Amino acid sequence: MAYTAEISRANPSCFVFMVDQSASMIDPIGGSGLQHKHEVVADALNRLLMELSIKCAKEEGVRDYFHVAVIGYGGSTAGPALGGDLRGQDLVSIGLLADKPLRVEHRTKKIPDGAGGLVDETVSFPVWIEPLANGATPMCKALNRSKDILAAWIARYPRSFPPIVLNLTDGEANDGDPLQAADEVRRLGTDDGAVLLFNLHVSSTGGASAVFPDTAAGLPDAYARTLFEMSSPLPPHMRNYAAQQGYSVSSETRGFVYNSDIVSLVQFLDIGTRAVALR
Amino acid sequence: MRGSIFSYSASKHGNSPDEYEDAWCISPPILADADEIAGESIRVSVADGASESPFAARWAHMLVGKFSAAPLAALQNVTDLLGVLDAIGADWPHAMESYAASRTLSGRPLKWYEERVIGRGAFATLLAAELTLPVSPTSCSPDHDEGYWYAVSIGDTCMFQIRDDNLLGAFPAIPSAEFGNNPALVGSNHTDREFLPAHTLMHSGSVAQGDDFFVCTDALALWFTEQVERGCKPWTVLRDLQAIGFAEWLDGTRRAGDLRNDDVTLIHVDLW
Repeated sequence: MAYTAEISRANPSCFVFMVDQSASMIDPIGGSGLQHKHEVVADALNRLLMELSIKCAKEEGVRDYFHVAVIGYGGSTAGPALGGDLRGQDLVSIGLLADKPLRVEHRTKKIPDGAGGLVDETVSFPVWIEPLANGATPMCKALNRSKDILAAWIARYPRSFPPIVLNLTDGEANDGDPLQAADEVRRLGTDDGAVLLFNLHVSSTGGASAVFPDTAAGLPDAYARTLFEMSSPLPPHMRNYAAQQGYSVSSETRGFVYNSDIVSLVQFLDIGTRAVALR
Repeated sequence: MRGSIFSYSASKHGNSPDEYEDAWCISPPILADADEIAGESIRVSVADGASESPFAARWAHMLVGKFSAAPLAALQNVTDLLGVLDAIGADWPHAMESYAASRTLSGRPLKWYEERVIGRGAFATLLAAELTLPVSPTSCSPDHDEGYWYAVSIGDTCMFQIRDDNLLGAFPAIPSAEFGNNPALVGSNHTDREFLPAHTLMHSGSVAQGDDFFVCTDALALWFTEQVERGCKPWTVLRDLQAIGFAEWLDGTRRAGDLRNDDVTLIHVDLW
C-alpha cells in the first residue's frame, strides 16, 4: 500500500519548499489590504519549518526524519534560498535547519489564563526566510530544479516515504506552462508512491478562501485553477487527518490551499505516536 | 505459590538505547530476571512515551515511578486515579524547571524548539497492574485461596493473561485493526477533567497457579493480537525468550515485517 513507509532517521523523507520571490509578490493579498503576499509566504514558510522542526524535536536535538530544501524563485533565477550558515545548500537535514535559523525572535501571543481571560506569553519564533519580491516568476525553472534535487535524493532513498514539494506562490508563472513541469515532478516517486506536489496560493484577487478543495469550481481565477490542477490528490491517510481537523474531504481532495493557512499540513505526517492532550 | 518476572526492552531499530522512550517499574523491585517474586503481591507499571512529545521519556519514567507506589485504590476507581495523576501533574512543572535550570548551569540552555514545547507538556500511555498471588494450601491452612489482579489502562499498552495454554483475557482488549498512532494518552498538563475518565479502563480478575501475564507496549501488543487472531499462540514464543534470546527474536521478527518498528517493552510474570 502506498504512502505507508516509516519515516525515521534510517528511512527519512524529504520536503522541498518552493517560494515565489517575484515582483508581483509585493502586492497585498486579496481582501486584507494590509498583508503583502511576500510577507505572507515568508511567514507561512517560517511557521512550516518551525512546526516541522518541533515535530521532530527531542531533548537537546531534532531528529533527522526529514531532509529539507528551500528554493526561491524570482527574476531569472531559481535556487537555494536559505541564508546564514545554510546559504547555497540545496538540501539540509531538519536537525541542522533547526539549529541554524537566521535569528530567533521573541514574539508575544495571547494565551488563556485559565480563568476565562487572556494573558500575554512570550514565545520564540525562528526566522529562516525574509520576505523578498523581485523580477519575473520562473516557476517552471523552480519546478525543474526541484525535480533534479528529488531525482538524486530518490536514488539515495528509494524506499522512503515519498518526498513532498510545497509551492508557495501567487501563481503568476511567466516562464512557460507550469502544468507540464509539475507533471514531471509528480512522475517521480519512491517504492512507496509518487512525489506529492502541493500548492499554497496567495492571491490579490480575493474571493472565498479554500483549503484542500476537491474541485476547481469556485476558484476565482485561472492562476488558482492552474495551481489546483498542478496539485496532487491527498493520499488516504492525509485525507483522514484533514477530516479530523474539520475539513470536508473526498477522494478528489487536492493538496491545494487558496488564501488560507497550510501549516496544518505538518500534522498530516506520521513519525510515531501523536501527542494529543487528554488532560 | 511461586513466580518469576522477566523484563525485556529495546529501542526502535535505528535509535540508540538512550533514545528508548518507554518506561517500566516493578514493585517490589526484582534484583535480576528469574528471581523469585518476594512478597504476596507485585505491581507492574509500564508507560509508553509519545514519539512527538520531546520530554516523553521523562514523563513516562515519572508516571511508572509514581504508580509503583500509588495506593491500590488508584487502580480501582477513577477518583483515586485522578488524585494520583493530579499529584504527578503538580510535580511535573517543578521537574521541568529543575531540568531547564540544570541545562543552563551546564552551559547548554534550552534550544528554541524545546522552549516552544516545554509548556505543551508531555504524553504517554499507562498500564498499571497489581497481582496478588494465590496462597498454596498448607497443613495449617488447607484451603486454596485464589489470587486476584486489578489494573488500570489509558492507551494501548496491554496485558495478556494465559491460563492452561489459552488466552484468558486481554486488557485492554484491542482488535489489531484498532492499533494506530492516536492512542489515548496521559498528559502532564491539566486541561480537560472529563476527557481522561472517558478514556480510562479499569478491570480485575483472578490469579491462579500456572498463569502467565504479559504486559506489552503497543508494537508487541499488536503483534501478540495479530498472532491470536490468526489462531496462533504467541505466548509460547514469549515464554521462551530467555532461551531464544530477546534481541535475536526481535531483530528477526522486525526484519520479517511482522513487528512494527517501535520501542518495545515486555514484562512477563510467570507463576509456577
